[in-house]
Amino acid sequence: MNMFASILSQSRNTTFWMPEQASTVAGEVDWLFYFILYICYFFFFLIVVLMLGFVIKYRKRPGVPDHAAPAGHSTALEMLWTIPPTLIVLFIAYKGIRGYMDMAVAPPNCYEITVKGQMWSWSFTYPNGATPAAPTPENPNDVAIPELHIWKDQPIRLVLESTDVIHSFYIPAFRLKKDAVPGRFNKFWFQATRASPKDDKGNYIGFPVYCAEYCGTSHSEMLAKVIVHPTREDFELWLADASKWEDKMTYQERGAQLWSMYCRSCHSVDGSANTGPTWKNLYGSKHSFADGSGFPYQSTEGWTADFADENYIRESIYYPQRKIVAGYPAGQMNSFLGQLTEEDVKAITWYMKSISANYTGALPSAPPQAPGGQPAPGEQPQPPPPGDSQ
Amino acid sequence: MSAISTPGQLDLTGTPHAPGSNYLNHTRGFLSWALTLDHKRIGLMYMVFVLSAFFLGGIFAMLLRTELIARGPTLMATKTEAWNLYNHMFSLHGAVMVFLFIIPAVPAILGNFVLPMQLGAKDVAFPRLNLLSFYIYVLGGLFFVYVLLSGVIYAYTGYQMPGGFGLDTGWTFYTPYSSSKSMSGVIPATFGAFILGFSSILTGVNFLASIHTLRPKNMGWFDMPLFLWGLYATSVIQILATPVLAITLLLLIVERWIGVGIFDPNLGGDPVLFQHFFWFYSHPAVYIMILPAMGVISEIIATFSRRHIFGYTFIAYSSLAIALLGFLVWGHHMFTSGQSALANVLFSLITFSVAIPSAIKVFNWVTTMYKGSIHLETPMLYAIGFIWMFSIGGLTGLFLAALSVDIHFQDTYFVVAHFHYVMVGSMLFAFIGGMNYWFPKMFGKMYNEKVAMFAAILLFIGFNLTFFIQFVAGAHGAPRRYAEVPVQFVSHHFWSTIGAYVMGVSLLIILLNWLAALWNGRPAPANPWGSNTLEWQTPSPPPHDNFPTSPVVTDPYDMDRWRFVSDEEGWVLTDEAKAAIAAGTAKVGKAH
Amino acid sequence: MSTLSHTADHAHHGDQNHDHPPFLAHHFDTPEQQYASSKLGMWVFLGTELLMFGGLFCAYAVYRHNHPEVFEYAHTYLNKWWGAINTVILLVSSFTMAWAVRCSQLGHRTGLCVLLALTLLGGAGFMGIKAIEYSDKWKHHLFPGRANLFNREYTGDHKPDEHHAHGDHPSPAAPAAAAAHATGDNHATGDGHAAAPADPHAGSASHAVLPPASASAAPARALNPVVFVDPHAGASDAAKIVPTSNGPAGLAQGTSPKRGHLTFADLATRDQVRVNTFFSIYFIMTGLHGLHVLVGMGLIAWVLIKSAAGIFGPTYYTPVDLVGLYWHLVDLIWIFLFPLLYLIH
Repeated sequence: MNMFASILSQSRNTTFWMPEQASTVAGEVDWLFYFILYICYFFFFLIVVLMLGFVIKYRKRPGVPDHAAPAGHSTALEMLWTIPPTLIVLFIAYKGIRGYMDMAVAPPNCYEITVKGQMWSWSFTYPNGATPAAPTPENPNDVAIPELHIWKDQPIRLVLESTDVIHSFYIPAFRLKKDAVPGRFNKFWFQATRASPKDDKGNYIGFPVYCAEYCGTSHSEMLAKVIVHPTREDFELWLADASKWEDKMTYQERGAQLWSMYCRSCHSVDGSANTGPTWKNLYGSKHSFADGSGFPYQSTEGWTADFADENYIRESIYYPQRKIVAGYPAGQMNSFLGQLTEEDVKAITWYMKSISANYTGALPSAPPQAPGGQPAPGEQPQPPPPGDSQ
Repeated sequence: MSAISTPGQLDLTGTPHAPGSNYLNHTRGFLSWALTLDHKRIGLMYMVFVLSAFFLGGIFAMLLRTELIARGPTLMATKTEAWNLYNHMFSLHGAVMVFLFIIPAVPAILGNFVLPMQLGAKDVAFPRLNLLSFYIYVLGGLFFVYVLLSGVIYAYTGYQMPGGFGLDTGWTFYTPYSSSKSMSGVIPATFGAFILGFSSILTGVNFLASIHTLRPKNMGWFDMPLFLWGLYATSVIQILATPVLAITLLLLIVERWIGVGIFDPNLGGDPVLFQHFFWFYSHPAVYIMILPAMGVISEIIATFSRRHIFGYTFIAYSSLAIALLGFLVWGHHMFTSGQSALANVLFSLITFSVAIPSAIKVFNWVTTMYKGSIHLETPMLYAIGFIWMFSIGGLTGLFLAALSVDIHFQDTYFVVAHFHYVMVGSMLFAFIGGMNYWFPKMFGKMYNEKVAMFAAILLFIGFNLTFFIQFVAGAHGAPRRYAEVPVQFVSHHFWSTIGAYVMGVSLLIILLNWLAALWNGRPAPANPWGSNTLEWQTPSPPPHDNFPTSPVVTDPYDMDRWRFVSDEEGWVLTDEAKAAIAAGTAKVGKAH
Repeated sequence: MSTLSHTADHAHHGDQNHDHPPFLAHHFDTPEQQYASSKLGMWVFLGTELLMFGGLFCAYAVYRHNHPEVFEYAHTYLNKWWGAINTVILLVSSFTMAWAVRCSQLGHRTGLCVLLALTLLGGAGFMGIKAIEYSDKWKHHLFPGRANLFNREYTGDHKPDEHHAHGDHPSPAAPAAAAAHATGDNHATGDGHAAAPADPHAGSASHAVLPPASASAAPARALNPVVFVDPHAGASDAAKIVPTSNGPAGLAQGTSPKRGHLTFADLATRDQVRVNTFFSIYFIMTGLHGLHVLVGMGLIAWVLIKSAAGIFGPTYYTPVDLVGLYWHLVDLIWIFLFPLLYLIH
């Protein structure tokens, strides 16, 4: 069993106690950590050695009468173990506060990225407005792990928001963590000092990111990676490529990507049960609703759906609480209004069509903006513009 | 017992009215227990229920550790099922352990049993209130049983009982997950905790009033045993903090029930306000857990070192200091929540100040052992284990109080290990040590010493194996409450789970040892350890009114008044002490 | 270390040498010790009560500090005259309670019973007025939580204008109107409202006094979104949406129109969704307080029965004293609740 050895033999840049250092503040944090650690070693061994020494030296021996010293009290001793520890903790507090101020005060030239947490995934929106999808995992059963791309030696400022519950964005290699609280924007900054290494295939190995605030069933799968590019040019090349999907994939492929970013934690595509209804064969189905009604469904927006059609799917994404499918609890899904564009909804709808036996028409065969590409067959009805002023 | 009937001597044979009658057997029948106002019987009834809760919480712990023994679903077939089970287990483990075990354990069991006797009194100040708080505790516990049952019923039948099923919010009930997203029984669980809060408040009021008004006239504040100081400081916290928890949980209940918009950001509320409210109680609650435990340790160390406790006043004042400073540090649970930098700085500074009184206590205990005559019996083993655990738990608190380091450690296994060292390592060791210490007094039976010592050592090994490795995992960034083990932490969790099993086994041995002692333990003498606090100056078990004759109040740590005779007779007063009592010159007054 | 000689002169002898009165519990030595214990216990318990309400006052302070306009706007739905009357009632009942304690100490049994009964009556009066106020809120769908018109998750069938189709609600109108006249409050009164056309959408219906009558106050609703209408632009009768009770007349009306005529449409959108929070806090605070009044009334009734049996006298009046302390606490909390909730400027 190799279970114990693996704890001791960490990888190249890690130590027994701390993970790899990859940000400007990591060195300072680790310095204080080791300072406190040695203080702890000192006091712990002092206490334990004295205690065990007294136990051995003054233990009751059979046949020997008790020989305890009389009542003890020494103000000098009390001061000895009150004042020096006080000074030590004051120094630690000072160093901790100094280190924290370095974390708290962002330099003026930060590159700002919006981080959105939702149950149970992260998404990153760059200043150009793009929210690149997470790379598709090799094993389709694995959860796609989204990537935050930055570049080395550049101050980065993250603006954290949450659409549902509290999450926490935690990058151990940077020694940083901040909660994503719904209803407020939390911000923090960092500057990476080490570019991400690459694996054998030339792919970046990111620094792990965890959600550190418990957020429900799949909290432990709300992971991400930070990819630190060596240069800004390298980063910009990646961003330009990642910002555009229209020339690379079809609507249904984009829909599948969006599903894995936003929807897969609650909606399966293989018919299995989950928090929300499966998408397999959802398009075109005529399920009933939790309030007892069913299709045809007359929406308050003015249209009528005879089955789960484009309008119905769009409404379910933007206003999920209007109609709840029978057998599922209300209140679980948040609106994606403002998060998914009409184009994204279109892509999701095509993806649903592609995995539904109820749809027998053609599917887009080429990316919408592919060179010489063709428009999607059977242009779907234009949904009404969003009329909600909440 | 021999030579006990000379004048001025303690009568240790039983009440004058009915020799051999004690509080366990002076009346019989179910109602004589269910409606009893006797603090000793109430303490025993608490013991049955609190230990049951501990047993349940322990089972949850075993299940959640088993889930973490390897990557992927372990206990259930699919990921979703396994993750849900894990989330329910760690939430119930936390909630049951905190609200039903750790908070009431020492005050409600040992405090109820010992406090009036250490005061030389017949009962607590408000016996009916005491019984009421016991039944409130049972009622609150029933809500948790309901939550548990609803989870089991849902798992097996899919039927959702009213109020939700199980509990998957963590014991902290953070909004808005608890108020709007979780499908679990948040309302019954929080209502249960709300009710338990009243049990805690009433016990605190009762103890505080008892210590104030029932002290014998010649027992000044600084003549009290340190266990009473611990209970007094605990009572103060219970009284000041628990009402805030009550109102917080009430607000959470109405938030979830009718959506009042105080904590739910969707309705205009502030979820971080909940954290402030919650930790305003729950941080002082940590000291509710540890202060009475420290009191127990003070008693045990002095008794088994045969030496007067060192620095009595410093230990007593440090209890009060911890109780008061503990109210000013709640914000250190929210360093990463986005509260202002100024708040973070202040909370960090004040948090460090709690370290000092804690350190003072440890140094005084160790110094008490210096030049003592140390009897390594089971309670003393637990006290030594306590000092080990509390040193680690307390010192690792320095990392978490240091602002910049805590940003890294917040919500990792480092925190989990830290508070388990304090709340389980320390508090549990003090509790079991205290149970072993007062067990002969409670039941009039001696347990098997060898088995008890073996179990203590096994528990110590199992505990350190379980939790020390979690410091390493946490320092590397292993986040807590993860159902799926991140790849790099697989071996940490494996060993941690093995340690948990060792702990489980040793706790079972301890329990069986106690049960065996009830069955066929040898009769306990009145004073098996040679302690000088008043509860040992009455037969074991005590009579209904506690003292057949009024005990003589002396310095509680004047160990020289007792000499060991035999295992059967235990410790008896020395001839000098008897003579002093007879002459009316027994020492009282300053205990330091 | 002192070596004073003491035998245990303290407590709890196994055999009772001294006379033990019937009210003295077995574990106390003297009535004084029992009285001191009881009184200390009660004071500590009252402290916990204060701390419990303290949590609510904190929540109140946080939200009022963060959203002052919400409180200024929403408090106008409360009728300060009912609040004032209730304050007087509680103060008087506190006085009768204190007098009752004095009577019990002096052994005046008749006086004790009469005064306790008066106190009980005061409590009943308080709860009666509270019931009137609550039923008024109920009529206007101003309950806490999702039943509140302003709650974003309000899903009730009630249209915002439905409730006032039933005509005037009787209770607070009269005092409000009278008071408005009496104080020279120059804003719209109940009389003026009653005849006003209800709102532009629903056509004519007799109009209630209180602001929710106005269609322009239609709150946001997540599932059935309503566009907020500017009251000044859309409503035919601007005066009708002005709250009945307001800040001191003429307060900063010119410099800051929001101070004088704060209407729902004046609130920022993010504040509009928080109006329901005020009602939540109002109901939780007054509800919890009302619960305490009910408990206090139960205790007073219990003491009254015992008083009638002649149990209390100069040697033993602890229960009267403690119940009195409790009743004063209930009164004290209301003294804080009244200005904080009803008298916001």
